[in-house]
Amino acid sequence: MSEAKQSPFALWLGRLVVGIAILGFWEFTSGRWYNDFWISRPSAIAARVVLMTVNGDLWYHVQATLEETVAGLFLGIAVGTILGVGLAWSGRLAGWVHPYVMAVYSLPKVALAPLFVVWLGIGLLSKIVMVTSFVLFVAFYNAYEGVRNIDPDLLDMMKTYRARRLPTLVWVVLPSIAVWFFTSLRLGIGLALIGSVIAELEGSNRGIGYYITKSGNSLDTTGIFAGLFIIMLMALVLEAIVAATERRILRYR
Amino acid sequence: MAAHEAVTVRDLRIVYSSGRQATLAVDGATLSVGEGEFVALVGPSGCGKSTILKVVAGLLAANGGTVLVGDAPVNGVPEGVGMVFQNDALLPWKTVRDNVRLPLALRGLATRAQDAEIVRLLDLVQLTGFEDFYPRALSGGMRKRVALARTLAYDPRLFLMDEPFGPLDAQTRILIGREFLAIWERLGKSVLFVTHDVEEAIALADRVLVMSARPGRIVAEFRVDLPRPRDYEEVRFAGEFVALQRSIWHALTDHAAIRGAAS
Repeated sequence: MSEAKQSPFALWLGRLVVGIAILGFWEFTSGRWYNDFWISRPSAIAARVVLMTVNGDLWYHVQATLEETVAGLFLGIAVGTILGVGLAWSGRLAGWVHPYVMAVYSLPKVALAPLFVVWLGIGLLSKIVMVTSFVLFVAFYNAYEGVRNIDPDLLDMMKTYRARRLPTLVWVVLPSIAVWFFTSLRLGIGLALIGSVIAELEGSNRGIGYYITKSGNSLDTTGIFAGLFIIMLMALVLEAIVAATERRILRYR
Repeated sequence: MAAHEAVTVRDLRIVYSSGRQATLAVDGATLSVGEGEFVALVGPSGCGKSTILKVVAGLLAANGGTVLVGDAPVNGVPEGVGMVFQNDALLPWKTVRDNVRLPLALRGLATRAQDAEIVRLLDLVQLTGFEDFYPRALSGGMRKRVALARTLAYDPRLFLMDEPFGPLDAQTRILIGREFLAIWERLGKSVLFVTHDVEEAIALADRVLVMSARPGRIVAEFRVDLPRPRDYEEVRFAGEFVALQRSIWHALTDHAAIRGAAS
């Protein structure tokens, strides 16, 4: 609430101070109040990320995770949105299918990982499918709700102009669900990263999830934290891209 | 009645059903709008006056009776009928220009011709300079003007207006009403205008029809013989206006009570 009232400068200064305070406290206490083996320390993590950047490990792993995340995200959003719009428009069918969609949705997606590995091996494909399964339902529900929440007056208005299906889709339906679409995309980024990391934990030789597992197996907490930090950065960058696109497309709001 | 009516409604019956409950909304409504005539429909809220409008617009099916637009029975949305909705029904993601463009684009007009028409219409409703605004940034009165311009762009023979000035504040209401009256008096198209504002109805219309409470039917009809063009504000002080106002109020209050339960 009050966040909106302060100047951007004060806001960012405040954020910087909080960030420095947290990292500073971590850096100071680690190795003094407890053994830094457990949670490493910011300077060591930063050094690790720099090292990984220099020796090429960073891009090698990021590339794999990014491919899975982005491919799965787009596939999941596309399939989910098409299914959601289709089912919302299908009328009676929606009522028949809905409980089954709910049932599948309630499955822990993690438990599906072994299945995907059996079907598709441990390569890129099984990981993309894993990510897709994480993202698909969010996109489905947002599209479904989006279509059901179209202002009926706008549809009536189009009818009075005797507009056909295609112009109605272009002028009213798609712009109406754009808001929901971007919600799916934003939520999807986090889910897609979770999906790809989980898939990599399950079995792989590349990717940030793999790097984290490998570090864990050798009790290298600095490596684990470096992996987590990199995931965080990826999420931030992807989110910034989506937010910028959203601002351009939803300018009217 | 004349041979050519813009709208003919005879013995209209509309039943609303939600779940197991059926409500008789309109029962035996009969009315007509002549070619080039401005007819206002007044009645207590919930009397089904907006429902009648939706049936004439082809958005809602009747449960009985006859509805003609021109000489053709209404079956689906009839041609040449433009509706102005109570809440404007503007597309929030389109600018003023593109909202007005909608009917022109649907008609398949060339872009050049669309642009020229938009300029003309926005000038008509005094919105020149606001072409690139989104509806959100406009006042209620301005949004109403955009909605009017859009309906004018469709160039209908018949205007159906559902309490179009309802949500506006009193001052804006008068302002928009005056502008609309001036535009209409030049166009001379048929209008069926639903409102609960008796003064607005008299100031605008050639004829005022009074509806009873639910189930709605037409209980009284008043011819407004005030000369045109009218001065939207001054006309309210004419003796005939005041007399009409009194009679219409009496007709309204005599039939304001809801009759019997629904079947």
